[in-house]
Amino acid sequence: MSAFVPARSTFWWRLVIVLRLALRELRGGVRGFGVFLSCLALGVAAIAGVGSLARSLSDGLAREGAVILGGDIAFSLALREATADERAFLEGRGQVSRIATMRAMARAEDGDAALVELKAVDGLYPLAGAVTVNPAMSLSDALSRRGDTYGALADEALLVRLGVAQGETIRIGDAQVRIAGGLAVEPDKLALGMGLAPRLLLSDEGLRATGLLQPGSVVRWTYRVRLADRSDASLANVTSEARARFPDAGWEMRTRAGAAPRLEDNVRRFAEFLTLVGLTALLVGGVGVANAVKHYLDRKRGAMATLKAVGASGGTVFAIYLAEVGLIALVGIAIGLLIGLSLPYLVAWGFQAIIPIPLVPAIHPRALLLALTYGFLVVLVFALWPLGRAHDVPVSALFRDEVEPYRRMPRRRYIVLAAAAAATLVALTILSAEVQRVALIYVVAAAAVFVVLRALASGLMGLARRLPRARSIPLKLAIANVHRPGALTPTVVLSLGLGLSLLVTLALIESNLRNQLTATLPERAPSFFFIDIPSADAERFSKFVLDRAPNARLDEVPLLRGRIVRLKDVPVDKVTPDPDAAWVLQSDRGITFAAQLPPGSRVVAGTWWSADYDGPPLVSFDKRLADGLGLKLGDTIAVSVLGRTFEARIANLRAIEWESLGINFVMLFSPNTFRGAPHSLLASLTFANTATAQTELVLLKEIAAAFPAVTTVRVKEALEAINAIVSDLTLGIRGASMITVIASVLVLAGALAAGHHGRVYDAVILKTLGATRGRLVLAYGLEYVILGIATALVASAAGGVAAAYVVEEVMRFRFSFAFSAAALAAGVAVALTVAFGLIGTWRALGEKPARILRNL
Amino acid sequence: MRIEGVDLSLGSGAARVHILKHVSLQIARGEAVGLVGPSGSGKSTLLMVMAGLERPNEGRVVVAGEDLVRLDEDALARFRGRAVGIVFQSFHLIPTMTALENVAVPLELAGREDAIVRAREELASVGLGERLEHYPAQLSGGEQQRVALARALAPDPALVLADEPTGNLDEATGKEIMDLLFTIRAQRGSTLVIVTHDPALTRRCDRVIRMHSGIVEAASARADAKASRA
Repeated sequence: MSAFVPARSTFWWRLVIVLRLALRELRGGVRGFGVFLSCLALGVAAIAGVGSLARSLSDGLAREGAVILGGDIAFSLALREATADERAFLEGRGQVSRIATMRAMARAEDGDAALVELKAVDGLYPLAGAVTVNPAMSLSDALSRRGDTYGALADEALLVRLGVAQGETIRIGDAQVRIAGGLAVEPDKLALGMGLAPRLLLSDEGLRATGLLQPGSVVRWTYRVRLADRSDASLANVTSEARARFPDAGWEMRTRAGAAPRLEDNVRRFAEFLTLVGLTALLVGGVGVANAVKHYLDRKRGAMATLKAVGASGGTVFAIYLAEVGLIALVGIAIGLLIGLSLPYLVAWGFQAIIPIPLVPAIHPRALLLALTYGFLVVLVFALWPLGRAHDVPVSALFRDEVEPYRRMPRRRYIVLAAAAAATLVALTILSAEVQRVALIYVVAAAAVFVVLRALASGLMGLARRLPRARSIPLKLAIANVHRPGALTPTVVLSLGLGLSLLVTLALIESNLRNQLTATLPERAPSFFFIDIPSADAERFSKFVLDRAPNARLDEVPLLRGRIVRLKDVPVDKVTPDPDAAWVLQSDRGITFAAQLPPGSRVVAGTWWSADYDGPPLVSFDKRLADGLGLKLGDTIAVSVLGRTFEARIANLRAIEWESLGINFVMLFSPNTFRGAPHSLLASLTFANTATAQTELVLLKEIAAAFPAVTTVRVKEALEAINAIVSDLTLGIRGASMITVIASVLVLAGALAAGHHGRVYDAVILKTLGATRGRLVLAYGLEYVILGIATALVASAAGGVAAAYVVEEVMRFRFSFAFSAAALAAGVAVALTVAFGLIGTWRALGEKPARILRNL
Repeated sequence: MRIEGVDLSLGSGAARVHILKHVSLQIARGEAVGLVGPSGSGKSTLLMVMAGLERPNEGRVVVAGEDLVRLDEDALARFRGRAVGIVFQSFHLIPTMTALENVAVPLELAGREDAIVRAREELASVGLGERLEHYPAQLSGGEQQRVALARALAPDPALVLADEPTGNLDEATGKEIMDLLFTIRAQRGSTLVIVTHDPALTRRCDRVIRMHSGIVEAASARADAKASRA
């Protein structure tokens, strides 16, 4: 007789048993988990990859900070050079190199003219990194003066535009400039930001010879210092000393630690956007996860009932299958992490030569941990519900089938667990985001789309159920397939709908952006902007232009450059503005004065001053920016212009129609504010009818010859440059959104594959009862068309709402629904559904009935 | 129905099995034939050949004037829908359709406008008038087989084929179902071929065909059947 052995019931013992049983179960294979693994790996890889790549880029920017900045610290001044005191202070801290940057016109000998981003450097340039000249020569040789000509290096694009070759000369202002060679590598290019025109590098001496340095010319002087003591402590000392010694210098300081802050911001924001796209892919994949788990548990129903029959509790059964799903998820996540962490290395290996940002590939544990956490949370959110139902599988399942097993709700504890996982996912998404408002909007939008799509699926099934019986058999079968128990409807609608909503959103934002930049232009935008028209030449200039373009309208406004120094008597460094409005305070702004309200704007608060107003200085401010800076009517603003501080009171707020591309300013002062201050003029020229490129180019040539100091910006060229940037960006965005589409397709294919067995059975029985293959194909095709079209319609609507929000609220221009973009996305959806559906069905139809019937 | 020199092998290479060996037989209109024999003797395969679900390698199969061997897959499907009703041992109902829908399917496929009405009547005639909207899994085995029976008989087929129709049912239920099958068949005059191991069932047939290893061994006729036909 055997002795009584007490049962062990500790937590750890139970855990061991659960894991042991789970592993034993998994020996049977993980059939049906292909989509689960792929979706999880894809989403996790996207998030881990984007995070790792962004950090590798930030590391690259940090490591190369001194090279990008052109020194350890840079002081940048608009419109004026450093004073002797300031210069002495800088020279006391290390080696100082000065550069000047401005826009100017370059003219070829044959009269062709083009806008250039001029950069004049001294003999010490560059203090860090090296310039590479094509063909190889030293920088000093390249920029040297020979007789009356000054050497210069140009971007290849400029040589092509002007049709000049190396060794030939061009004119900049009054100076004759020799193209010594091409500018192959400009080490500090990133710090100067993106230019709208090609670069021309020449010597300081060359710039002075051009005669373009006039009072009020829009030129920026930057002093780079290579510190004698290069430690971080010394860097911090110099910046704080500079602030203390020259509080009113108005210089913009940058250190090697933040050499290209806008670029870093952009990298971070773009990475955050891509992380959300990756998360969308993961959420779409979540639908696949839920399906895979449900089908797996359906298959394991007998095993579960058996386990219960031999003594396992409902909780134990749940734990066993949770452990199985967790182990499988671990494999998918590990694959995703592996791909994600190798992305920076792959990019560095394959693309370093063509991306302008230095990249330091490394393994970034934080990025990987974030992706891992997202992966597990998504699995929990989507798997806990079907897993919870496993708790209540009756032992009687061994004896009879059910129409639809697991139809009832899981116990409350599993619902709470699933809700907690979802809440954690939401919290992580918001808290890990830099711009939490955007993450919050994303979460709300994603949840709304989920709910809408789920409701659509239920609605569609309910509608199909209530429809009167169709006369056509294929249609009747199709409708029955839409609503029958275990129908594909919820899966297809959710997975395809989520991916498609994102696709439509991005497609609509892109088309609106492009439309804004190009399509709206011909009717309303000016053809040219003219900068730096000396006020003394104003009359001659206007006559010259209108003689040659009599049908055009020339708008001229006075232009000064100024920096806001105080808001409501508070120095700007003490002000914390809304992030969207911070740029106004960051550097010099163009400002103007006017007696009349300029076109393209309207007063939304306060009143416009009278034409002969002569009281205390007044200012009109952009409404949206005023809100962002916390400014109201009656508040004071102080601006520093040419070293003098002017204070004015806000008389009114304007809503500005920036997209008209007319001349407009954030700040517009009453004419008496700057009385007597030297200024130049800014002008725009708008043709009554759209001018041909030929007309524009001839005029450009003539103005450049007659007014060498005036910089002409041809709007079409500037917009082409912006368009090219937008194209690159949208290409990246489209690439990223493809991840989500792939996830959608995977889930769709998975759902269809999971339903394949049932389809084969149905097809065989229907064939036995007299259905032809044509009828079956038609029936299945109709079913997929119904699902595809319904999903596409809802996704287009959801995408439209999301895009409208982004375009109107974030980008601040009018939204228009581009039917072609939405229709294309919708067409893709229907095509995908029908194609994938029919591929699976075709296989089902090819089955020989006798073989299947024999095995059933 | 005329079957002439039907030969059928399945599988390939070493796994190729010669299932039907030069089978020939004739069944008269309205006749009830029992097909018996040990497992693996080819009964069910012969039944599938009769239904056009399996194509013989050689020979002719003529059912209700149609040479099945010459019909393509779709023509065979249409022919089945019109002329053949099949009852399986495992019922083979479509799990996602209600009892009513299951019975209506062949009628709908045949383009009958009164499909639903007929299906309802057919279900009522097998005693399931109250379970029209039930799914197969909500029905007992006997009820499922009644649905299958109603589905097979609904289009008034010339030929009813039944493959061990009581194999998955208890004796009493099996008997009930067979009573129904024979009664309705007798009322409509359909030809019936039934594969069975049940001696009680064979006794109700006009003729019994015995098979062994793919060969028709013998055919015996029931005396009273002959008498009744005469």
